[in-house]
Amino acid sequence: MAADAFLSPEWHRVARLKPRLRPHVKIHRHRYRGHTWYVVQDHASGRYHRFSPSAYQLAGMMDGKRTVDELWKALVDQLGDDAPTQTSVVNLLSQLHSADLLQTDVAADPKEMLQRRGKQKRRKLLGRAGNPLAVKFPLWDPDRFLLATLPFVQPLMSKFGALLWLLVVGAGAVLAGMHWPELTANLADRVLTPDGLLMVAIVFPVLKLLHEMGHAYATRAGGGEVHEMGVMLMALAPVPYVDGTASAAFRSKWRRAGVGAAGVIVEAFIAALAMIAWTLLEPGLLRALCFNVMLVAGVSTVIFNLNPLMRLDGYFIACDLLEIPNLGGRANKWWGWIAERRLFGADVEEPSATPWERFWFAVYAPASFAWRMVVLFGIALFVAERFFVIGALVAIAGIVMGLVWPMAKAFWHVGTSPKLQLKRGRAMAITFGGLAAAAFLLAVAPAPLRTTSEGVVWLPEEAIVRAGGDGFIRAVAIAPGSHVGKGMRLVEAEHPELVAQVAVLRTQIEALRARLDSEQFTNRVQAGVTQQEIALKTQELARAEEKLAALEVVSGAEGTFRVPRAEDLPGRYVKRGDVIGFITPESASLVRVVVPQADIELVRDRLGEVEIKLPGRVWEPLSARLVREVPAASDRLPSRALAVEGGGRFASDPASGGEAPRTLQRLFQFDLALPDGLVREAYGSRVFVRFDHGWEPLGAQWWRRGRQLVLARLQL
Amino acid sequence: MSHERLKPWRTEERQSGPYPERAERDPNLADRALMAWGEVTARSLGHRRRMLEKFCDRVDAAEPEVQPLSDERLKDAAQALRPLFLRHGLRDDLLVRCFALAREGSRRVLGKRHYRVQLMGGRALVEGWLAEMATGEGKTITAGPPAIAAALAGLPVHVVTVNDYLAERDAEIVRPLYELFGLTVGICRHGQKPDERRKAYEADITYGANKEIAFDYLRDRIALGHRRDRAGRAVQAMLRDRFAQPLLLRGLGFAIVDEADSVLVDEARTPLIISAEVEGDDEAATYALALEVASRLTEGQHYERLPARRLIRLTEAGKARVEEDTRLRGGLWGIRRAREELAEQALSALHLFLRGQQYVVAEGKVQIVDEYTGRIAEGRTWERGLHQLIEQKEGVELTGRRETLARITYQRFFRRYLRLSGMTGTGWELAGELRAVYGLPIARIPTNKPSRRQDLGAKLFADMASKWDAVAEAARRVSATGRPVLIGTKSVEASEALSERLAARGLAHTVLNARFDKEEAEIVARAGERGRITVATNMAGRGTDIHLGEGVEELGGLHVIVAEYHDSPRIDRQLIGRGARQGNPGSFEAIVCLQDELFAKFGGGRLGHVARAVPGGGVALLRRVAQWRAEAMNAATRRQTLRSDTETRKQLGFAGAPE
Repeated sequence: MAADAFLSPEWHRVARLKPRLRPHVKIHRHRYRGHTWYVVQDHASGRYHRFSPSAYQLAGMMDGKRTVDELWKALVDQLGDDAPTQTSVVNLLSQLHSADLLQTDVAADPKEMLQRRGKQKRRKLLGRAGNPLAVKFPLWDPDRFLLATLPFVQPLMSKFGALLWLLVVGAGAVLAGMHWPELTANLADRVLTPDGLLMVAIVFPVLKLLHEMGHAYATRAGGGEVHEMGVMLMALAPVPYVDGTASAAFRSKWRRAGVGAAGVIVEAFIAALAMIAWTLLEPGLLRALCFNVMLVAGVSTVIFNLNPLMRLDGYFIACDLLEIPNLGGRANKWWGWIAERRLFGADVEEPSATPWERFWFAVYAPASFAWRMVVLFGIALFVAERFFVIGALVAIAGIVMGLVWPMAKAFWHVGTSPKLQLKRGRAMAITFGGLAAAAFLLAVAPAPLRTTSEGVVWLPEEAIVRAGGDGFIRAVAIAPGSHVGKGMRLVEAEHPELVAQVAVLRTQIEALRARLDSEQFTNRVQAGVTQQEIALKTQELARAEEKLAALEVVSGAEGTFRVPRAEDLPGRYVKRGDVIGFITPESASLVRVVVPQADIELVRDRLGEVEIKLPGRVWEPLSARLVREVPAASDRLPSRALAVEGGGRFASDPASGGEAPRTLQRLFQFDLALPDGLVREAYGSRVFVRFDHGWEPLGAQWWRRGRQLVLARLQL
Repeated sequence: MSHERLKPWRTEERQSGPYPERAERDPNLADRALMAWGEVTARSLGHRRRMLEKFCDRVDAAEPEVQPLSDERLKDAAQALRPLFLRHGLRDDLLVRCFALAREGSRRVLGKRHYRVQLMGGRALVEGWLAEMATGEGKTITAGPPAIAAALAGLPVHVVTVNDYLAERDAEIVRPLYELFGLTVGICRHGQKPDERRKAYEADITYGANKEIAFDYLRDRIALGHRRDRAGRAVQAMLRDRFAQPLLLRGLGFAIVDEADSVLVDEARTPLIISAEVEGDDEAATYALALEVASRLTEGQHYERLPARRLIRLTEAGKARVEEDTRLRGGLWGIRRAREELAEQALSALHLFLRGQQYVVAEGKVQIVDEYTGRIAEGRTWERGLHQLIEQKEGVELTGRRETLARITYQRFFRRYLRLSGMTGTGWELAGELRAVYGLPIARIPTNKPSRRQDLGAKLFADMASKWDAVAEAARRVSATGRPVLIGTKSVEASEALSERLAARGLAHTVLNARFDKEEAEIVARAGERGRITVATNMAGRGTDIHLGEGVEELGGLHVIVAEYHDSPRIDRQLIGRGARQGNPGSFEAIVCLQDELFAKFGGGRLGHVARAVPGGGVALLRRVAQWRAEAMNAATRRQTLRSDTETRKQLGFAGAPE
């Protein structure tokens, strides 16, 4: 039997009923994308229901006098091919009943009603407690307050109000643009201090309260009633909320969107005022307060409230403006249909949708899912960092509600849905085959395992020109910048003491030789002693001469001789080992790369190929060879080029400065040998390095990273 | 043990209404799954059997006390239990006494003293269990003691059978026993007038076919309309100044369902529907056109068949073709869905429902043959125009379009008994389902005497002609030795095809099928005679007691040939169970064909050839696979029926409480 049979086997149950809509409901006519829909407002329950025109036609004919059978026959005569099937009539009546909109001449099944009531209650309770990221506590019925105060607010909701708003917000935006650098400089420092956080904690609820009042007044001004206001715990942070569902009945989509936007409009206005105040005030507490107001009202509004991917203001505004009510729910249904139809080949009727709607369904569902996952894990990690147990529970609950439960429902659907009855085999095969394939890819199929890092072109030790001994530089023998060969004399230095010492020693040796000559034949014993002494002095002399020779620095490598500030050199006193200059070779041969602690195990134990890429020629990877490792971790970078300020990827402590900035994490250093003659980049340029560790299934790789992330963040 | 538990029902379990019945509860999915799983585990534990054995010991011990009593004192002793049962509920010591009295009474008036296994079965029934007793163990008199106990406890007792014939037969067998204790017996048959029915239900113990009782209940519900509370009904009756239409039943008290698997599971696939004829305009022309249009469609191009599900669906091309052919016809034809539905129904009438299989034409009427019992399902019609289409196809007079007045599923109906119990020979594999759906735990009762049934194996043939030849040949061979032969076929058509072959061989035989159900008793009575060949559909299954003729036992008893496997192995076992009853000798064999419906639908082409290639074990494997698949699908269908029944109830809450 088709899911939507023309003749319903249950017709006998309903045929003789004389139904009518309950008298208290109000029907509003809306237009969405050129289609007419009817929104039924139930004043008793405060709920809203949307009907298609054909459903409305039937509902409109129900007068409590004609039976369902008569109504249906009349519709068949009237509409012909477009007439609803018996099944859909039964469905409609059932929907009306479950929305408590239907009244018939027969007492409804009490058991069914009790069951439904229990279910609703459970659902409400679950809705409150089940989502630990958003627990609602209704506190207050603000309707009377709103009515009483509306006259004071009403003038602002006018052309004048709009003009004022534009003016203030425009001014605020211009000022923000002008003061952008001051506003953003050192942001983290200013906010994440205890003072800053306290201020945010004070400002945030006040702003959000004003935000919600914006919604409430906008609803009230449009004639909707607002009966619930309270506090919602969003990720354990208390946030006020207001129930503005009455706006669903507004006919104009702009008015409906207006209610959704009211909160943001209020916040933007306040942010602009704060901006203006900030520019006028002297530094102090008040100015800091203004800054925080801007921060909260501006940033949180843009990231959360206006984001249509979350079920907040932005979503409802988007629904209204796109004229696609219930976008999220219908997008999910539409994707479900895609799966059933295209993937499983089941003969399922497409959910009614225009091409325009279909486009948004196709885009919205995946985007919102991805965003939800990001937020879910983000919040969970964020909370877990502070309160580990609560955070872990929140994370688990969030994962169960957001991922496991929908998936379980999807599998249950595949396994039991009557719609798939004829294609169950295929549906199961595809679903579980797909799962198995994914599991295989994750757990078994090897994927390349790589880590990347950055390094700098480094010089070999012999290319560094160092002073051979303590002394005063006399002259630079070869003009800096010229090409030098190996063994060429580069710098001459002198050390007067040393020269004197050599002369003294030579004289002493002369004297001793003379003594030896005289003693040789008279006193053999004494001659032996003198001989020893000569040998000693000769050695001393040799050493002194060596030192003297070392004062002349000789090139250890071939390349261009570079001396920073060469003109200052002559006459300068240098100590042995001081760097005087460099000889930069035609091609670099060494790269010093830093590896973060997380990757060190892989680099040490599972190293295969090493590839480097030069910033100028990233499309030409070069293979390199690991030659040396600094065995201990250090918090110093070898070069500024690797720090974030230098364009690198390692965050460093800005206060540390110097040639070797201090990093926030521990790093290991490795030296890589480059192939000869290929790298012409200068000493100190940054290069990208990729370590290849062979193959490992993606699942194992993600597991390692996930564990590192969790362990590192949670300090377990 | 609390006092409350011994009562036949708990007060809070009762439905408020004009007569006692159980309030419905819909166990949710998890509950049902747990119950089914728990039952499958619990059925083998043996604790139920130990409890029954212990009870029997006590009855044995109590028997000498009642033996010296006169018939009159026996009755008094039984009637003396009434207030005790009312006060204490069905307490064990009272039951012991009651059973001892019933046993003694049975010995005196029926000449049959209950065997221990029969008492065990009876005790299981009182407990609200499903007693699994091998075929031929005398289930008829097993129902006696529990029925007496429940009747004395004041419950309306219904002994539910599969058909009128068995209701009448069983009632007449046990009637003297009931009457000995001063209890009245009523029999409810098809075609009785309301007054006769009411009388039958007024009796302490009522025998009736499941369909009759359920239909009567449904009639009561229609009579009640939406006024189902007792007070409301009384007011209504007063205002109208008449009690014109008193209800038929006294209530749903204690039900003993004979052949419980057949009634509660197989028959539960189709809901019971009471319908009334409505005057239609120009129906015949519509149906004729539908058949004409359908006959022009070709399989594959215009429609596809889903044989396993007995379903036909139009393809897009078929839909277009139907639209083209019926353009300008107006009426329902102008409405796409109505048109396509009619065309699909017409296709089903042409290709899925075949004379001699799903129905027979008798007395100028199309009559449905029940697939499981092989009998004509009196008064049942197909829904949504299908019946009329088939009538049109067969060229018999159209019955008017019928409009459903009320419908109920067996699942819902039997769950409303305050205490439900059942007996069957074949319930083991359904234990989980029966527990989950009806709350019936199963207790396996041992056989009185060891079985002397011989399995002669199975033969598989590739085509029908050689199968029928082989069946005829086997029948000739066995009957030549003087043993009676019973051949079971699945459809009326098949039984007639076989009859022709036998006649061609000059073998005298009798055919028992839905067409000859009038002579059933006579045919069955003679089926055990020397050298007799009986060809029967499933009709000769449940409850048919074939007594062996003189000297047949020495020759080896009845030989049963299974000429086609049924979807369910239980039905096959029922047929096989006709032979070798109560310790008699007997044998059976199966002679089947790859083209049999079961193998064609569920055998899966290649498997059949593999099975033929394997000597000996191949058929068994093929049969097992095919029957397992068929049963799995039927079980899924039943689950779906139950689920949509619950869903429907939820959905139609606005239309008042269901029937």
